[in-house]
Amino acid sequence: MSDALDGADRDASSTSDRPAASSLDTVLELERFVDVDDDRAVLADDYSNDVPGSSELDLTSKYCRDCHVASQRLYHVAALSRVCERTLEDDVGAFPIDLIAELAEDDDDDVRRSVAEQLDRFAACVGRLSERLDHVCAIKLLGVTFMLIEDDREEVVSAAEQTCGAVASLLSPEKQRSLLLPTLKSFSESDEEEIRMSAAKVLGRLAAVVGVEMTKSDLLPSLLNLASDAEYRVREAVASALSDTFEILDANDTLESTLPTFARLSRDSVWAVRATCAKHVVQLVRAVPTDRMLDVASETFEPLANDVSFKVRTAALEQLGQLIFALSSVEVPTIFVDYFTSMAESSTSSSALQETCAYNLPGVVLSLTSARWTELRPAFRLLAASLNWRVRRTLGCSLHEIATIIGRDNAEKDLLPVLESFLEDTDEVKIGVIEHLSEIFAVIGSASRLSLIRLLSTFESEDAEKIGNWRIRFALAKQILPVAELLSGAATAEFIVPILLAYLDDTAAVVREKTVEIAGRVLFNAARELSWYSETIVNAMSSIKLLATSHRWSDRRAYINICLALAREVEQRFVVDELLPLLVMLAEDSVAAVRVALSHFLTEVLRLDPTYISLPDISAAIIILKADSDPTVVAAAQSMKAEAEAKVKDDAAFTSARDVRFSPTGL
Amino acid sequence: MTTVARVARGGWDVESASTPIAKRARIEQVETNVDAPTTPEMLFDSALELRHESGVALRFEAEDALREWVKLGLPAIEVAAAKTWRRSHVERFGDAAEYDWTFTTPYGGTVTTTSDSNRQPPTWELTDRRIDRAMLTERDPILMYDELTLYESELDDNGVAHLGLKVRVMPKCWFVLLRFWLRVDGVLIRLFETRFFCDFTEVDRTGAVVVVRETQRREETWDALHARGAPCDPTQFPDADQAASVLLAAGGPVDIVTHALTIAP
Amino acid sequence: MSHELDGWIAALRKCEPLEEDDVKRLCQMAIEILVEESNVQTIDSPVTICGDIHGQFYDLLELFKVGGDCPDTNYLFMGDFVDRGFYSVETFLLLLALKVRYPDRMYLIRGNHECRQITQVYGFYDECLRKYGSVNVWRYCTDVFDYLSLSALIDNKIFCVHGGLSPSITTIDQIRTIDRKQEVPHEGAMCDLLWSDPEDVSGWGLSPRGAGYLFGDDVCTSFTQTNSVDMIARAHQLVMEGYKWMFNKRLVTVWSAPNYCYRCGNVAAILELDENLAHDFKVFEAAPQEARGVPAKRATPDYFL
Repeated sequence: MSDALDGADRDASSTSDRPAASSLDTVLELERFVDVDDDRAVLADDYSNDVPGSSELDLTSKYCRDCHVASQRLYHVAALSRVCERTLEDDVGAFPIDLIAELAEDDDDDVRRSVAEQLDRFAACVGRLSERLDHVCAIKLLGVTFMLIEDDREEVVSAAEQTCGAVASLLSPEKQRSLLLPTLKSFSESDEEEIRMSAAKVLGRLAAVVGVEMTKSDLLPSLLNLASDAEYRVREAVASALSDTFEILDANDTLESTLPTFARLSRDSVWAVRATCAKHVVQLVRAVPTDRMLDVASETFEPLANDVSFKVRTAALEQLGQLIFALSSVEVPTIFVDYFTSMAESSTSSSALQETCAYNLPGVVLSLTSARWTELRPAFRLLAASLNWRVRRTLGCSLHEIATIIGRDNAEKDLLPVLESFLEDTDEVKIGVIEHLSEIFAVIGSASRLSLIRLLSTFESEDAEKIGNWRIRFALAKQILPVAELLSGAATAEFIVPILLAYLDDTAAVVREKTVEIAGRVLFNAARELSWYSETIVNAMSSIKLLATSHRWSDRRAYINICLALAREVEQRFVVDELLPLLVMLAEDSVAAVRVALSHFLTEVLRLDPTYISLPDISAAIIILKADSDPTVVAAAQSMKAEAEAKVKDDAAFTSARDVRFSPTGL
Repeated sequence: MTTVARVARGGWDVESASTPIAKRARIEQVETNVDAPTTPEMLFDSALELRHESGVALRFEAEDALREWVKLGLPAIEVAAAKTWRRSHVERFGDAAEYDWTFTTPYGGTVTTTSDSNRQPPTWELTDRRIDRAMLTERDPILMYDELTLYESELDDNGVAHLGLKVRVMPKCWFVLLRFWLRVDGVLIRLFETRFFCDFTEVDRTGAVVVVRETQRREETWDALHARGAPCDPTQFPDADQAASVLLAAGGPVDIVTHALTIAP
Repeated sequence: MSHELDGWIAALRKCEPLEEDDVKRLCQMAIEILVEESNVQTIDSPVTICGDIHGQFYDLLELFKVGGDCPDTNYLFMGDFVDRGFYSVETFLLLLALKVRYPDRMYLIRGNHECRQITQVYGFYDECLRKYGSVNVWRYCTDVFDYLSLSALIDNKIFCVHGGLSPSITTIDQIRTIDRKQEVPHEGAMCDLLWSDPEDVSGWGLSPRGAGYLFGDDVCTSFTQTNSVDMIARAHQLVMEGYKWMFNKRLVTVWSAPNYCYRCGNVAAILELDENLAHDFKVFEAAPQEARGVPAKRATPDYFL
């Protein structure tokens, strides 16, 4: 048996250690073994040639070089940085820089891309291992990075552009000056457009690494130079890279050094450049001095929002929500709100833009505060009426947030009608609303709650076989308890309890289980107000008791679990009078899962109230369960504390002179 | 769950519909309609229809393809394991139902007329015309693209038989590739490709528009591929595209037959 | 030990593959349990019977949502856990971990895909290589396959097998004498049990492919009568509606992989048997896109020639 797991090949032809064929088998000649396709077995490396004592890194390096199955090799290349992180403790000399350099020139594009993607991890590793900067590995890694930036394949280049910052951070400022800057300068003067594009991107990325001074003295001038490049894709890259510098420069530098160029690029003749600027307006606004935020926002945003190109207008509007949020410390002008409303309009906006609008709405409402809700109401109404379900769904998922911000009166007046229509919308929209129902309930008044709750009783279970959309019913089941806590007992009895009972019978197990979890509490809360003797509660309780005698074992188990939840709330007398008789009957149920549940029930109630042990029915049940034939049942029963018994005896002795609570079983 | 793509261009209205697999009632209906003992277990009601303004339409659907399969009636081949079976089998069991379980079909589309037309549909004629490959390599915008599977069978885990098509409508032309591809593990690979092309900008002297259809059939046995040093491992033929490139490189010479459908205005 | 197993189960439920060493240990533990099982595993009702899963992990999670989690609900999976879907590794390891953790609540029998030859062609081998960079995990799992039981008998009344019946097998006892601990052979009793199909033929038929049996109503009836069972439950064949009765309800095919190959659009089913063997089918759909790991592949426009 252990041979098999050590990877030894099964010998297809040997039958010597197999039992002889039975007489049945002589009727037809049976072949014992099927040849495992031998050609295939050697294609993938099975490590049987591994030299014992090789380190994990040695092995991984070997597989990176030697594996000839591409997917297997790629796995090991991709694992290289993790192996370095895990196994190289203090020996920077063992860092596989030569292997990395080799792989960076590999024929397989995926291999080179994988190396490019791991540069930051390699850099972190070198940084951790060598105490000083400018280690030879760091310098070689930089060389590898630049080589990958000049790669033919787009994916390799962009991966290297993303990770180069980490590599550069391994160098001292002197080395950064002497190694990085000259190379970057030559890249930015290259005849090849792609290289100049990469130069722009990298110049931006490195701002965070080299710091303010070097950014101002070296990076920024090159970048600003590239802003006048003849090729629009280079100018586009510059527009992006400038926003990287915003983080580093102080507010005034941003205003004086970069804003003019940025503004010029935002009026570029090519739409793609303007669109890129539009994407970074928010970062620009955040970077300038506070007293200039509004001007800069208006001056850059408005022309872009009114641009002749649809793509540029869209790019600008996509940032509007964030822009408003960024301006929340100053008074946001009405014009911006108007732009936001225009986003919500389906005739002028793409549905993606409408979705963004819906998504940003809560943030915008928060920024403008409930005092200005009326300005946003038109946008809200437009979104709610959108023909695109994704827009309505996005809106539905954030209704509760909006409600909390705008307060009860506004919510009841403006949100409620929309909510009600969403509850009759398609499944995807419905579920977004249902998931936050209780949070909405918390904001609105009781009359509104009632009108809303009437709509929910239409979420009946599907017919016996088809599961239908159980997710909606599950979402509602999760809301039943928090919603019921916000309703009167009468409303709960009238509207919530029917759903509860229907879901206890749901076709999907997960819906039933969730409902069982909360049923006890819901009934207890309702009964506390209405009393256990009110009609609905009595009817509900009899439906629940019927579960105990259902032909479905999962129903019988459900009964036990509901009783447990109730037992946590009610008095022992109630449990004994109402619930116990059916419970103890289940100690001899034919299904083990039911008996296990009963064991857990008894364990828990004894923990809550050790005096239960003095009830003959309970102790009889315990005896039966402890002698059960199913080991899982016995195990669950064993955990019932015998201490409980002892404790009660002690208490009884101590309080014998006082009124001892002795409850007849009522059977 | 049907998804539809549709575009109108150059006098043509092209519509493709993609559906889930057929239910039992529909399967039984198809079996009756084409008079077949069985159908592929994944039978789709997906269809592609290219309707010309003159009332003539070219349609691709599984039922017609299966009708051709039945008509072609190739003899049943055996799987690789059959040899082992025969050794230990006694002929006390009845004959196997004989039918081509590979579902190989020579289907080349259905020419029909739209409901409000009472003309006779034209027929395919042999022709010297060729598909304009130069036009097809131009990177014009693709106005509509779709890929459909008409039917597929896992051949009871002995390989795959798949009839599918790709369509693209460009500003100047439309192009359809209908492919039947079969892999019987350890036995053979079969690839029937039928290409349909219509250049809307070219209209002949009578004002008629012409659809060109080019048929290529390739087939290689496992042993033949092995002998030529080509890959012959089932995993190297996961789909029709892979199979096509291997057969192109390692297959023998193939006949190309071209027909034209002339659609008068 | 169960603490560690619980950790593995928790990780697998989130579709995280285990470390290679843990796979090795899990497989060793599984073999120790499976080796004790009979070729015809006896199971007590209530139990829920499931068909092919084929690596459709997120749909397996749907199945548990509908049928209830293990060990609360007892399950029998009738094979074909791997191949074709994207998550054969996670699917098989989750079921195996549940088997090891709750051996009396989870039962697994072998399907025709649980073998070395087929998994090398139809996806499991490649997936292991891609996720682990070596063939070891594939080896560990295929070794476990050899130990999987061939069939199950529920309350001595319902016979369950992946494919179907065999002309070499008249009584259930005969199945018990098979040496199952081997790669699935190309023919013979063990092969038939995992490969044969029910068909409207009389007696036994030979598949038109030249290998593989078909069996008709009379064969099925004779088997059920001889062995005093009420019916046969099996899987192996795709059913658009999730389940399909044949032979006057003496045989049922259960298929549990919804939207098979991510494009058939079929529903799936599970068969719930209560302690009196009353049966109830639950039919369910594939997990929606948001619940799955990978985004749906859309046909990207292609300048094909």
